[in-house]
Amino acid sequence: MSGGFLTLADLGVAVLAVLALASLSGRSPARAAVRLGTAGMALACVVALAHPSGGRWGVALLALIAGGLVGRGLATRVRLARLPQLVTGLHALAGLGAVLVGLATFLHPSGLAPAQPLLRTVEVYLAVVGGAVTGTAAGVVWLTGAGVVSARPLRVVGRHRLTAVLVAALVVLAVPTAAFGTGFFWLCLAALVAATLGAHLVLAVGAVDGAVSALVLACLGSGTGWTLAALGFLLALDLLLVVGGLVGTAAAVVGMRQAAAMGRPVIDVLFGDPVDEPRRGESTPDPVDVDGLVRWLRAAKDVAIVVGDGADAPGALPAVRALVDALSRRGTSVRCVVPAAARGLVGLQHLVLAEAGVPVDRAPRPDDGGTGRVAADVVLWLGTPTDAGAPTVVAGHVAWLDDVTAHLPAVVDPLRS
Amino acid sequence: MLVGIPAASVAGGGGHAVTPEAVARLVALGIPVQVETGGSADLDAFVAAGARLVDGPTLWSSSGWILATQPPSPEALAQLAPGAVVVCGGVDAADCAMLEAFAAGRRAGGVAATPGAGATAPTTVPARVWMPLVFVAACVLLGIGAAAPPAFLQQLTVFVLACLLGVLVARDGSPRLEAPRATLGLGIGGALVVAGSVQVSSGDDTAAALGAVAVALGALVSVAGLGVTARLQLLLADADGAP
Repeated sequence: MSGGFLTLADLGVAVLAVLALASLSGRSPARAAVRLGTAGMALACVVALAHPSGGRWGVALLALIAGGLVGRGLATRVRLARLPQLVTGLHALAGLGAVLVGLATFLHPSGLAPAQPLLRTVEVYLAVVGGAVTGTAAGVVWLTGAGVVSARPLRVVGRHRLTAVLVAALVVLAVPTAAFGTGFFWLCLAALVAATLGAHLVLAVGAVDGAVSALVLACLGSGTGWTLAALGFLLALDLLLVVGGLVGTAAAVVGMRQAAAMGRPVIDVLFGDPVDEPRRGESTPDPVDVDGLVRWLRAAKDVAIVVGDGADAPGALPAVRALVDALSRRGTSVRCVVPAAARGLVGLQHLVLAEAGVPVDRAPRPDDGGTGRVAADVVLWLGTPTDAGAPTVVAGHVAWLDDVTAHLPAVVDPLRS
Repeated sequence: MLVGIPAASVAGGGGHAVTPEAVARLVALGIPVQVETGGSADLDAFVAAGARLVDGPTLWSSSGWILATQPPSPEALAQLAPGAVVVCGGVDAADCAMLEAFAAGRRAGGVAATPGAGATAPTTVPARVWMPLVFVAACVLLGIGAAAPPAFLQQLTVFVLACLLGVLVARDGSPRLEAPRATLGLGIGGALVVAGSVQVSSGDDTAAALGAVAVALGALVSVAGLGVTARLQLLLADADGAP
């Protein structure tokens, strides 16, 4: 295929990618988003098959089919509640892919790479280091989610000094990589240092649940995007520049919003001292006064249910739904609220609740003019209370149920009669 | 310890920070409570709960603890008793000037009025943070412009415009859209296949193999991201009641 057609096809992929992300905005999200994205990626596959010369397109086709089949299997099998795990895994793979492309380009510069050796080396370096940092960070988060690594923040003595040493080592390693024609060894060493840096950054934040994890996921998203953009610079592919810049910045905006919901600056969350969030099973709540709670709920005209940490577990959701049904049948106005600072993946909690048939209010957010205030006769807080992004509660009565599966059915049964 | 509960201004809703039920509990614990007259609330309920009704100046000057919905006005601050604690909502970074004035007034034994300080704070704070950043960014860009080849500058233009688009696309902060946005981002991030495919026909066999693996990884990420987005999309449609 001629270069002109390839450039046009690249433009088509970029336009479809922008349109796909853009059509996700708005009151009622268009289904077009997935169709546009799929069309864009189909076109990208055509471009990918057109690039290899000398009969190598068969190899590219085999790789596309193999990767696509595995991806399809993952997408259909994953439980929605485990979605953050899948997303981190995919970020790790994307980071690995970027590192591989960077190394390959260093070994054998393609015709598209910049002719100037210094610029080319710097761009290879950025792509490899970015991919290694993001990929390893995502890999560590994945391992944490799988239970291999402890979710507790790892307290390293001289944490910031270690970060500074690793960053300095990366800067120093750039010199031999750029200076010698055969700097492949140094580039691999830099990739290893970058991988250590990624693991160190994430382990020190130590996030797999709690509001921090959503911020870490957003950071991984922006890291992956900007790494793709670095590849775009390296291979002179405007398509990757557009997609990478778009995805990277969009994820960064989500991260900043999450940090605002947590009431802490991004830098403070990622590099400051970890704040111990209350975790399930460690707090010892007062014994639940079920009779009193039932009395309050019977008398209330409107009830707000805050679905907090742990209350959206698959086992707990049917009980929440039964409570909502029982209250609505009594004529009580009832709504569910999700704390503004998300956990796991921003926005996922809403969809998990929607899947279980629990109606959710638009979550109070600090930036929509409201103060995130929940006002009702009775506010029932389910799950572990967290400080981050907790709504201000203004209510006649506030009740807190920690262990939803154990206690909620006892509240729902009397309300039904 | 006397707890005072002022009425919010009319603009602030005219309510009290604490409900009569909560006042009854404080009184039951042996804590005396006084409530400011006025406002829109049902004052009889507070009296029934055991609170004393007082006027504003008395409340601000005699209470040890103040529970309020709004930050205190400068007049109220001036009346505050030494050592009194104010617990209130609505204080944000923009009110730093108010708090500084409060602290200065405490030390000097009176509050110096700083008219307009609260109004100017929101505009000066971000400017102070952003101006050096903008300056540094401009210097870096000028340096790049002087040294880099034209092809790179063209790429930089595309990249910066794409970043701006990313900000615009993510502007709708509705939380229900953010999970599908993250997975869709991964889906189109599968454009990695194009980067990998450039290397597949490379003359170096190692580079070609690395490129092929990258193509497979890109396809995996893309298909998985898009597939999950499609599942989330159906849920969104269900939640909206759309067909």
